[in-house]
Amino acid sequence: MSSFIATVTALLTIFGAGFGVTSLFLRNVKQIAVAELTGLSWLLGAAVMSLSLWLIGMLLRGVSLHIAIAFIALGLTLMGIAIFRNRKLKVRIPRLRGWLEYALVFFLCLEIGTVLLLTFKHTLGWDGLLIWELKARYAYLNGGALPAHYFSDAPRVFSHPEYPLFLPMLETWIYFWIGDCDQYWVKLIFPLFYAVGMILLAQAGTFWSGKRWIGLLVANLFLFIPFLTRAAGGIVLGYADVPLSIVYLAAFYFLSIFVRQNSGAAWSCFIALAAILPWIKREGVILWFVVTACGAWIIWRRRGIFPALLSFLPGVCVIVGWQIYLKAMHVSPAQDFDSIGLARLYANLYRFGPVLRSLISEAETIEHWSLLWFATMAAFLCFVIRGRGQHALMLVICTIAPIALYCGVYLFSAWSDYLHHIESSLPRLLLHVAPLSMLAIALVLGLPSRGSARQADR
Amino acid sequence: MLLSIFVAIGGREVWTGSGGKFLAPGPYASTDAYLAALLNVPNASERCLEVMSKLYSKRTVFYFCPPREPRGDFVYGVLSYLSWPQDMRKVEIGQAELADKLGSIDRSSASAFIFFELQSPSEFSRGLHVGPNLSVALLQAPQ
Repeated sequence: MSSFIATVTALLTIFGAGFGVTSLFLRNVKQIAVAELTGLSWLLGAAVMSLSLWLIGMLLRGVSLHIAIAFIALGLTLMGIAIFRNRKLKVRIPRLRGWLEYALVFFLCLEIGTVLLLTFKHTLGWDGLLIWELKARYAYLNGGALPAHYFSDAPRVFSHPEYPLFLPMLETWIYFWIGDCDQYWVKLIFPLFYAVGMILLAQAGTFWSGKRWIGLLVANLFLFIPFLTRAAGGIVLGYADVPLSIVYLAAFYFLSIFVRQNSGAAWSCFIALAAILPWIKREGVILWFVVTACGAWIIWRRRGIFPALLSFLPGVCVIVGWQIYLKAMHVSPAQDFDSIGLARLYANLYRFGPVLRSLISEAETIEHWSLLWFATMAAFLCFVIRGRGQHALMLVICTIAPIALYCGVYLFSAWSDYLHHIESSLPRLLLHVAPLSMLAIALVLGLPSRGSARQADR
Repeated sequence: MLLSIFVAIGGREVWTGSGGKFLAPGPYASTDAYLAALLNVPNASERCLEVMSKLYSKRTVFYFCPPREPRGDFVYGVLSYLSWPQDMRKVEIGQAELADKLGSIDRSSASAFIFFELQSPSEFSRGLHVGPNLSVALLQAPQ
């Protein structure tokens, strides 16, 4: 079997597993938008497969692990098909109206094709290779699970053994099917994340603005953020930041559906997607906390305190489970940050100004962000002037709060040159909320028309 | 207006970033590309793997490179990546202090010395080479 066909097969099993989980979550709805089904199938499938590989990899290795995970994927796919048949679920494919929507769909396909081509023009970046793919390679060479002594191998501490395994386990899954490590074909994962992200962004933009052309427009605009394709952290270099931002967008989107429609299915999807965030990257804990706190506040007001607290549970399980695993593997704690405490905060309070200046300077860097953050600020200002209500407030919080918390964490940086720490990581962190800032732009673009989004706010 | 400028700037950046050749398909597509730039050797991953396969042992491989040199860091990262599960240690050192440092290392604990962008002492001159900048001195018979 050629490497390409093997990679495509591996990706299809991920979709299949995700399709099963998605069908389970959405079994009580009558219709599912094709964009939601595609997005959820990929994102939930990726989470299920990587978590299964990690957990079952503690018991099985090699061919038996490969077969076990393949059976899980097959089982979930069949379950999904059965749910679709028994519940007579229908997939809603939107009908395009007018030349503009056709043109925007055409350009979006063109852009996804461009990202695919760019992916194979660039190598994996430093982190893509030596943090994420390195773990996949070591896991594959060890039969599918990272060797225990890797975690305490001091000379390889540069590869951050404490980082979660979402991406490495997905890559290991592809290697299982190829039968070898392959730095070339493994990159197919990333354009897929981009494609799924843009489908969801178009759907979310439509939902927020009330107009499909606006949703398609903001999805088209996303490629024009230069950081996405030009800088370390972008989609073509194999970093975890874009997948993290896509899952964050998806979690926020399903939270907003829950807020507007009080749908139990959307609530389940939101909680599941939010719980994936800490499994993708350490910073995912902050994103998870922000979006889940927002969600919990709304759930508390609608359904009481117990369901609100329950919404934290899956994410807490992922975070605690991973920490227990790291403890069991004797991983030395990361050296990037000092212990968080009031004394340290007081001692480092002088950093507040430089951190803020660095943030503003980065947001103003046209070569990274074009006019994204100017447009986002203009959109937020518009919300204030036009009084957009609870939904807009939720969007503003979920965009600004992670950035504020990221910046706050730099007050505890243990690097001797903390400004260098900021320079090397802050740009990537801004990418995590970039899709949400696109939603803010979509909402503002929909304002003059007094679209459905605004009516729903009243 | 704002969106047009947004597209114009972003489009220019995407366009300039889209230049260059496609990666050659292969299991070491990325490490080959990096090592070709750093070591001036085509298909360097296979060559490094071949060399590293001769070093595998429970003893440590010491990697010497000039201090504060990002290229040295990167080559170490890639070698370390390729050489798993071999134990490797990086030593950042200037040419002037290299001989003293080598003298202070217990040879019975080492399986090889790797020198990146450093002139290896004459006793190691018959080592293996991966391009002009990287030489490998074996301290024990290859296995």
